[in-house]
Amino acid sequence: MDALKTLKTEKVGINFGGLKAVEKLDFEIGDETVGLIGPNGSGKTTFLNIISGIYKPSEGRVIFKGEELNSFTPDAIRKKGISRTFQTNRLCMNLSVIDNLLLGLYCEQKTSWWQAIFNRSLAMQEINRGIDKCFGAISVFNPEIVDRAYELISTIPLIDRRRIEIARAIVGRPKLLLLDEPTAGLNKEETHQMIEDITKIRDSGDRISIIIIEHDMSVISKISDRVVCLNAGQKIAEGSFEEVSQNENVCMAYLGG
Amino acid sequence: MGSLILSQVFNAIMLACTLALIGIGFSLFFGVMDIVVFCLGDIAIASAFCILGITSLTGVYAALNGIFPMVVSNIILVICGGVFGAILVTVMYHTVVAPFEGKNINASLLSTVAAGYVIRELIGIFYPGGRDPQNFPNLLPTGYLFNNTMLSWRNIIIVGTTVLVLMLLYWFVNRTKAGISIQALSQNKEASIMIGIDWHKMVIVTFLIGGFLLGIAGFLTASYASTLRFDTGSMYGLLGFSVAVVGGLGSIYGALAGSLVIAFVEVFVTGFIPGGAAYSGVAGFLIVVLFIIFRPEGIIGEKSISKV
Amino acid sequence: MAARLNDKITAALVALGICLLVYISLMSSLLVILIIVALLVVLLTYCEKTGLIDTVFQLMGKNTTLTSVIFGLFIISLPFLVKGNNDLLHIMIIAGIMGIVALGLNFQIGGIGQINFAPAVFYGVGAYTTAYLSVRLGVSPWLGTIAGVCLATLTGVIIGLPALKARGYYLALVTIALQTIFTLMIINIPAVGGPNGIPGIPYYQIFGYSLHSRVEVFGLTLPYQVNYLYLVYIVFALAIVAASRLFKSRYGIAWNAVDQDPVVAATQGINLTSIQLLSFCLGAAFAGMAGALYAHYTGFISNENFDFSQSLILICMVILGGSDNVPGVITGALLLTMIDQKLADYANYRLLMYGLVLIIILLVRSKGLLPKRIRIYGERDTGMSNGDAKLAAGAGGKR
Ligand SMILES: Nc1ncnc2c1ncn2[C@@H]1O[C@H](COP(=O)(O)OP(=O)(O)O)[C@@H](O)[C@H]1O
Ligand SMILES: [Mg+2]
Repeated sequence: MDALKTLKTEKVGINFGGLKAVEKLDFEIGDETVGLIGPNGSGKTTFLNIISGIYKPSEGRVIFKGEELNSFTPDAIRKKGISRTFQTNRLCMNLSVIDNLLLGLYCEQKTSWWQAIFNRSLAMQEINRGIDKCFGAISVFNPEIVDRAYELISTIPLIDRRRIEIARAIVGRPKLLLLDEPTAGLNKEETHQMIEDITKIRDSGDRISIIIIEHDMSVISKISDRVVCLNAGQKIAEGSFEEVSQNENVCMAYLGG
Repeated sequence: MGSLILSQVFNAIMLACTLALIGIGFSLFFGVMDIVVFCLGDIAIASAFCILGITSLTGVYAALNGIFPMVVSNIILVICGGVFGAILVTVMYHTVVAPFEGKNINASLLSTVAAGYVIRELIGIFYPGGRDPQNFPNLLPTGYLFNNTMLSWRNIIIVGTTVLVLMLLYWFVNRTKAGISIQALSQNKEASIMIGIDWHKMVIVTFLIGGFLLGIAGFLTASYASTLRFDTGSMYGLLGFSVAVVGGLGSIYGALAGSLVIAFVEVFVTGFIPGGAAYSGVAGFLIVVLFIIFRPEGIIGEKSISKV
Repeated sequence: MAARLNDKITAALVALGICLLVYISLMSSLLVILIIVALLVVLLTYCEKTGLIDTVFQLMGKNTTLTSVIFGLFIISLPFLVKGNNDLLHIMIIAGIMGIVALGLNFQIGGIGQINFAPAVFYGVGAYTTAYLSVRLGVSPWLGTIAGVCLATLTGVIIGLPALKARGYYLALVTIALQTIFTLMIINIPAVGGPNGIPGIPYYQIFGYSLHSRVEVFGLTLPYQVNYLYLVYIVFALAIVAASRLFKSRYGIAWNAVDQDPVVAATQGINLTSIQLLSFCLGAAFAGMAGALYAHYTGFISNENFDFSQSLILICMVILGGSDNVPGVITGALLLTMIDQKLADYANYRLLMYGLVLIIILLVRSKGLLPKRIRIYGERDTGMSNGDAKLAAGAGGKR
């Protein structure tokens, strides 16, 4: 059974000073899309940070495809096939659109610095292949971004920045994608587009598991196969969207009770 | 052996006194502005040159001595040095610090390093014979307490002045409105501004006080060494920054602790390792590098978790 | 086809213009150089306003073969153009050596955005290693040079390791401290000559031909500097090629990402340790090579060539020229070396000038004369324009 699960956490927790931001969290995800909900400050982002290796958990284990990740650095975890986006859009402002996308391919490209200097044709081939892949990934969302590939990120509108960040995360074909509030700051129409974009990823046939943090319940209900609700660092409900949304604890948590 | 150790301890304390004030200068500016002004050492040395300049203008110095008793006129001189330091620091703030506020720190880093060079070279070029070592006049009383060669009046006054300045600073930071505002700013800038602390005013106050401290620091080092060289500022500043980092950047008491650590390391390497004199600087800086690698928050700094 | 030809001619003209500017600055006095710089700034500002600068850069990028041939020919003919004047050749050699160090330093300043205040340490380690080996142990200068590069690279690790922990001010303190330690060490170690330096460093030899000999061509007797000019500029050209290729490789992008946001970089699979060490070590290797060239060219080195002021000058070159832009860094190195050497009569004002230049540049044009440019891919001599590349790739994506 375990082997089927993409990612599993066992009693994972982390303390910041005295604050238990995540506590004894058991979580698992297989070939599916899981929505992670919970009021502000309930530890959702912190949980993603633990999975992606930015924080080391103070207790418990994170297991990805049967392998424990606790001691891995973020880059090693990315190489294992877990990639993510951030709650506040974190693209590299000093790089162009295409360079940001290429960053997502960094860990699958093989050119060594030695080859980059001495074997130009090989390096160029790989870069050109990479550019094709990136354009492919981004034009699924919005083909017009391709025309702006050589512009700095600062000239790109927010929704397209989000798309670029998501494309950067999926262009390397990860097994597990972590999305942190992909619709934050978007208006209604843009939110709709974002839902479509994420659906495209989910249904792309690439067998990708997705954990999506979201405040907008309409988004969660449309996208996720299963929902997990956190409050104060603990899991308070789990199940289908209907089940969770009718759970008393969840209502209480959202009402601040 | 016992008296050798004792005399080395004395030397270390003297060195610590000359380093403490400039270290505090670094911490003060960093606390309030989140900025490291790399030219502080040169400003201190420039202030010492200012005092030297006044004493070498025979007319002025004689007139001062004619009007006031010796002690008072010397204190006036030191205050002149402090005021000069304060003015210079304020000028530096407006030319090489303020324009880069809120931008990439590399810009202000480079500009203040460059400003140090400018100050140093200006002294070298425009002070008469500026590139040669200068004799710093002995403004402090000579002679010894209890006829003990370790307890020269000069050294006692240097330690005393440092302690006095530290006490004044303590009083200022903890007992005056401006001082408390500065503390608040260094702990949480946004919140302090929100509750109505005038940031710009406080920055100016900090710079004036810090500059005054630097002027006194320059006077003390020059008096301790009895010579003054135009190009010692960079080393002095570097030591001052090291002291602040070892103690915990941003903390005034940290700077004091840091200056003791660095001073003891340097003095003991010089005193007890054969041929160590040449490497005392190396040892001091190695300590700093090790601190930055293994304990970047310094001796009394708190470990902060950076939020992702 | 006609358009292509036009492009080529324009690119060639621009390249010739640059050569002419270098030549004029080399021949003339300080005042003229300063006027040229002022005009250049005006011209650049104008080009930036009108967008002409992008066109120029694109043209030059597309016709790299042509332009490098022109620059190469210029360097080859330079000894004849200056009629074998050894002072002027000396300036150009030093400019080339400084250029190599500056390109290496740019991996840190421009690449990972960390100001390394100790480039002169790498430079010095290269010089001192080969000088020590060849003077004291009689090792061949070429082997000494290789050893110098290796040891400098190792120093890169030593300075790079603290840099992994420290950023910004702390890194500045670490690197300044290490620079000071280095200077103190070479002054205090008698084996490397202490304050007297190492004199009598042997010159390079190629199959028994010493590069320190005069050259007779076309009835013209050229000073020995000619040999070194060619040697240094061959290495410089290699360094330029390497630096530009790295800039456009995945490493260049990764460096910039680490500069902008280390957390994001790490979550993209970039190993922060190795990528930052790479930047320091490659930079150190460049500087070590340059140091070795310097030692075997001048035959004498001392601690003054490798102190903190030298580091500051190198930083000045990168910042003035334009960090993370290879042509910019080259411009900075050439320009400041020329000014520096012409300033010999005013040696008293030299460091003051560097300080002021740095401050003014930071205040007025913080990105340098030639600011960093966006990487353009798919721009090759094959004639495929940037737009074509985009379209082709776009079509591929929509498939
Ligand atoms: N680096 C950190 N240091 C201290 N506290 C933190 C840190 N990161 C998160 N927290 C705290 O952990 C709690 C959970 O935060 P977060 O995971 O961002 O919540 P969410 O994403 O669910 O809104 C919050 O109280 C937050 O202040
Ligand atoms: Mg969050």
